[in-house]
Amino acid sequence: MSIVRTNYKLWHDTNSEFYHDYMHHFNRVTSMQQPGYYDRRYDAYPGGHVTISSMVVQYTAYEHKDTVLAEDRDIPFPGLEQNGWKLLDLFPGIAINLRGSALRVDTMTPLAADKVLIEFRGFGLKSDTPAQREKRVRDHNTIWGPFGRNLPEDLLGVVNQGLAMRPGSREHLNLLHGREEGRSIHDELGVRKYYAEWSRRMGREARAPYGDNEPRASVRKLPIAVGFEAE
Amino acid sequence: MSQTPSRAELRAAIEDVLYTGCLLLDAQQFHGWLEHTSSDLQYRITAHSPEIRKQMTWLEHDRQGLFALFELLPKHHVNHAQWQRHASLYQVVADSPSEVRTVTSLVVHHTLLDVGDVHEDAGATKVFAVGRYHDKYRLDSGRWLLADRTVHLETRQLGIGTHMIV
Repeated sequence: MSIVRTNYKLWHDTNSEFYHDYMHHFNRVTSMQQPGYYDRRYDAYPGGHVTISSMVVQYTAYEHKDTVLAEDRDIPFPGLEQNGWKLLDLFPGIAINLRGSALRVDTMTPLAADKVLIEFRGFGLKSDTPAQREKRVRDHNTIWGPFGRNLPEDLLGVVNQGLAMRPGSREHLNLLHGREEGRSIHDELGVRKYYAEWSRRMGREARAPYGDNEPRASVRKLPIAVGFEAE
Repeated sequence: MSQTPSRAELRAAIEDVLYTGCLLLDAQQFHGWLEHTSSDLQYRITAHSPEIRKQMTWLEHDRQGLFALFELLPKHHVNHAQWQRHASLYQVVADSPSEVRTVTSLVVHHTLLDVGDVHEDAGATKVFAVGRYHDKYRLDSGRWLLADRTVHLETRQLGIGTHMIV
């Protein structure tokens, strides 16, 4: 569990898009540079939920001079090919991430405009032998544990994103949100669908969340999403 | 050191390698730290979860794996916080003239850096984690080397986490 200084929507955003794979050395070598990555496609469902199709990840590509730091995920998970990777994002704050042998479920609770509690849960199968379970735990924690290679980068990313979006920041909002690339892996369909559903439920546009009550920039507290059309 | 060191001499020798290791890790001189470890070093970070009533292993590597992790650190996105380990050697148990087990209390503080033009956390020191080193040392050619380390953390909320070893 982590309490992280960012807006909860930025965490769901990170779990909903893959453009940020550029930030992860692990994902760059095991996925982005491997066949199939750019063939992955998003599917959107009513209610702001999305899925992304699988690919075969080359985990053993995370290495240094013949020392392989991530193992092949050779223990199967029902419905997934070996070393596959599927993702399901449920509006408004649950991500179900299945990578080879380990299933991760994130749930989050907003605590403030700039603070979110994220609970991470890793799952194996009830039928696991002790050795299988140990392997699944190792696979999970290699990237998703608090000392994993990916999770700290994701969390650092959303913290810094939130800080950069604050009014008065000189970091500038270089927003890439809303990329439309035919539902492919760097399309931000998930983010667009998320904010479309947010707008529908809130009765206001995500790009103008305050409506006629837009506060002065100097007193605005919430990071806002801009730069895309609600669908 | 005499053939059979006194308890105080043994403790002082272990303190030397333990605290030198902390200084090297604080300075992120990871390869220097590895020089104080045996070739068959095993390293792991664990914690107990009352929620699932199980021991969790968050990181586990041998010496070669740690070396590779250190080499890859520059490729990872980190927060560059400065760490400071406060270690107190609590217990030294000699299993043989050349093998020692120790328990060391540990508090890790981290001091944060600016994020862009945001200065709120700049220079602020916070406790990152508390726990204990459960170590094994081995006498090798007159030098005590770290042969096995289990970092057992009490802290389970680690904020954004880390790529470093504790």
